[in-house]
Amino acid sequence: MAPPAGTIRPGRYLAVFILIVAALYGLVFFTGSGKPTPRLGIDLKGGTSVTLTARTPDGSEPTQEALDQARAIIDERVNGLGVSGAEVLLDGKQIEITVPGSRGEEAKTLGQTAKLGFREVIAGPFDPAALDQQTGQGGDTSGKGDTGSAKPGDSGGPGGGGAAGSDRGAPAATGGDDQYLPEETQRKIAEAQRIRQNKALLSSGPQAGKALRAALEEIDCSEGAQDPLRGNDDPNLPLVACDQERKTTGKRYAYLLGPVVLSGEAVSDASASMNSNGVGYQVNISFTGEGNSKWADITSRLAKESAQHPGNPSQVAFVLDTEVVSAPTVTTAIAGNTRITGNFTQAEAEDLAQILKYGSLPLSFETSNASTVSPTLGASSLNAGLIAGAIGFALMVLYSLVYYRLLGVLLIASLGLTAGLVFPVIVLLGRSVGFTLDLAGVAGLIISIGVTADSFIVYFERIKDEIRTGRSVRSSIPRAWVRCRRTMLSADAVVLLAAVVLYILAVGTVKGFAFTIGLTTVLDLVIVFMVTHPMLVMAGRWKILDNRYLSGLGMVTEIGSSVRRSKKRSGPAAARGV
Amino acid sequence: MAESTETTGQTTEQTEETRPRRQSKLTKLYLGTGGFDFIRTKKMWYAAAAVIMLICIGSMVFRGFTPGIEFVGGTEIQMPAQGAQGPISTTEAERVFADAVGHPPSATQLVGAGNSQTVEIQSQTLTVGEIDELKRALVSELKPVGIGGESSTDAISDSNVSGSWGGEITRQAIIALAVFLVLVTVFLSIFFERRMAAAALTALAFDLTTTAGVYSIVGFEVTPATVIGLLTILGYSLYDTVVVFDKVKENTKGLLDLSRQTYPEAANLALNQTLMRSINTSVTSLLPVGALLVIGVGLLGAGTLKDLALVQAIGIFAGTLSSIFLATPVLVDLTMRQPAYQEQARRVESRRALGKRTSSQTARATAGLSGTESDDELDDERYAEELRQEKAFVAASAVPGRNLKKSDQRRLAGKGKPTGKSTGRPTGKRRR
Repeated sequence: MAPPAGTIRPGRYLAVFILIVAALYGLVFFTGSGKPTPRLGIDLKGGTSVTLTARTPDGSEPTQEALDQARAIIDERVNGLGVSGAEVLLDGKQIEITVPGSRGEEAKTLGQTAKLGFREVIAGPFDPAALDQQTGQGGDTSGKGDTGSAKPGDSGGPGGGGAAGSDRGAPAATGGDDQYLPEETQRKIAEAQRIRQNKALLSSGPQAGKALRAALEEIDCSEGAQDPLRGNDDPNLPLVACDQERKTTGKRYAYLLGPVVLSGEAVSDASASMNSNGVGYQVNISFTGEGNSKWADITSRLAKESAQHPGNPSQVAFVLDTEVVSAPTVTTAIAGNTRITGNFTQAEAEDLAQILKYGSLPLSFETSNASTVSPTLGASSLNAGLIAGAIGFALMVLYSLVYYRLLGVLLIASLGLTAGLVFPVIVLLGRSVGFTLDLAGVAGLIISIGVTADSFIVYFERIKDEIRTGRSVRSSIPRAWVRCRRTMLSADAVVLLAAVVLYILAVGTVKGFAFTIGLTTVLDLVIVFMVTHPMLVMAGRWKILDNRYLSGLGMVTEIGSSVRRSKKRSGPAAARGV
Repeated sequence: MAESTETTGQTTEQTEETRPRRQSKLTKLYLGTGGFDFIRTKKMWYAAAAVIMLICIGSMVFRGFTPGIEFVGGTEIQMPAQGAQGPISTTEAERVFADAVGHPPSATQLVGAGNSQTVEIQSQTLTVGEIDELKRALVSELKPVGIGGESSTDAISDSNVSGSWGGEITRQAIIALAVFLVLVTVFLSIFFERRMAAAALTALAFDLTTTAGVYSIVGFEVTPATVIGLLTILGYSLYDTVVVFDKVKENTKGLLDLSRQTYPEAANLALNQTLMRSINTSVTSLLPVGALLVIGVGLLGAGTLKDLALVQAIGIFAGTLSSIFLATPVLVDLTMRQPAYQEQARRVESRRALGKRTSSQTARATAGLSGTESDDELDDERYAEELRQEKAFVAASAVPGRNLKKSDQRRLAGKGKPTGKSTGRPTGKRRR
């Protein structure tokens, strides 16, 4: 049963394909930068990437609005670094900051800045490690100064602005246990909140002392301790909180603080500058209009109190996620810009200014992952990926030549064309939608060599099936095509489904892996339909494919011919039935 | 279609004496005429699969996994092992680390080879300040040489991972897994059969369990890349199974109307016919993965490349095994629970018994020379129908892109040749 004259026009398919490829390469070379290089990920070219995960007090999903706002604030901060090519992306609950090059170190602290609030210091500092000596005195404060000058409550100065970012890094890094033990953490948070945010702390009378004692017992101010209340405190309640490690004593002290009187959002700007009439650096804060009047109210009240108790001046604490960053005394009512003076070094002052300025994120973030990849490591990763790809491709060439011979040549050509098609698509995707090829993406591309070859193998094996039933090579091709098409489509659909689901739902850098796998699966189908099949149809007309040693169809052809012979013997009816 | 492949099997049997030489098992495997009986020996495969899965689950429960730094949290520092004053040893690196940070690192090792060789230091979480200090100390004392040839902190990579990061990735991965399973079940139920979906998911469960089990037993480090790699195995594992099932579906089309072959036989034939393909695609999939694994480990030591390649390699292997030994036998079992198929199998048996009695010189059931009249008539009808379909197929195949080529379609329609639509067969060739 000879098929009707083959009406497929392979040349046409190939021509269309060549046109498409030419168009793609045209776009690559004549649009945008014109450079045929894909956008490489940080792990291939070097740079810093930071992944921040949003946390909410009750573990609920943060609102999209809050996430967008946080992203915008962080974006602004990253721009403030002045590094070109830096990016801030929102991906579900994660904010990803990528800073190319070697100037990304600063980005690690940007996102760590969290909720800032001003609370009145009611009592403290206490040394929770030495509960017996709790005397509730405010330290040897000697607020000397001009308007609003303030000195941290401890003669040792603030806990060192330099450590401000880093100290937050430590708890952040271990802070994620709530992902593992949500109930346990919820319980801890509730417990800490009950004790350390007890309303009784503000009352007068014996239960206040009792509550304070309990809170000081509960709080853990040891070095690197993780505060369960971090980012989970209620601003309307009093709080017992630790400050940052002090350089002089190496210890952290606890404060009893009133409710939040002014939120960090009231700060409009903060900067560090040399102390004009003293040593060291100072931090200058300016407030928004509303913040200004509130701040004036607070400071005038506190200044009054300070005047009443000259030995124990009032303090206001800058609390960043339940940690006291600085607790300057207030001796004068301040309206307008405020200066915080102290024994700041330049770095400390700058850090404090940063915290004050940008601390007002609507959400707290945990640094899930902060890494810097050196250009050296990036280059060797890229190198390793390229070598692995080359070896994988070479092995595939060998295998297909040995196994499929002439058909193998076709297979290799198809694979090569797939690569030739994938490359401009990746370059163009990098330009248009910002797709970056990272190490995982490279791995995905290499692994896809196998999947792409799978499609061809399904086709070729199907041709063998047909030949085995006694058909000529030429007549087998269209029949095999019709039958394997569905197989390839459904099998590729499953792989594509897995890749798409992963790309949408999975988090982390391995997204690139899912992307490249999905991409190559689609392009693989394009190649099979537009190149491999038309080429096979053309090749089917060559006599050479009937050569059992060259065609790679070997023994199958032999069986086929014996089947044909036997059919001739057993009559046309049986032959027709096949 | 059904009869073409079947006839092949029987015709080749018949023409055994005309063959130039006897075939070895390997040759038969290559030719797809192996006659390996996977279905009859299914109890063995089930038992083996059950034992393997039990071992894997046992190991996962009692031994657990070796979590990577992403799951426990910590800091990892990587720097070139080549210093300005010669190679840097791990002990030197440890000493500098302890001096700079105040406590020793938890692990230090040399990984990779050649120019890419790196010193890898792992420790508990360090603060950004500490990392900075450490980097400066490492540069001033050991002078690792980076890509530009000069030694600076730029040559050192660091990674600070929170212990919850891995958990977050795993949580999302489990959501992705659930979504994928639902979607793929719907997909398979629509394009194949519900029973096939069930069988494919069984095979999938085996793949996931064994891959995870191997990680647990061997103690390979589990990283987020491993978790994601595990999920992409789903796609490949199903790819294999889908190809086999597609053939099963083809072989068993209209099987109930015929009495020449039982469902298990048809399924086994399909397995044999796709066996070489299964092996081939596994080999071709494993070749690049193997290259990736060797290079990833050899040049870089560890990291994303190794993690992804290793999990893929194990998964592809498990996927091939399960699609051959598990998916189809399970499908056969599920199918044979249906009375219609049991009834058909009995008809096949009785007919064969009859056939042996009446015409012993030819075992050909296809010729329709023996057996009950009604069956033969039915078979002949099916033949005629299939024949028509074949013709239509060839006509259709001659114009693969007929929705693109209107002219061809018109021309064919004008000739009065059906293009396959009349058969009600899914053409599945609509292109985007």
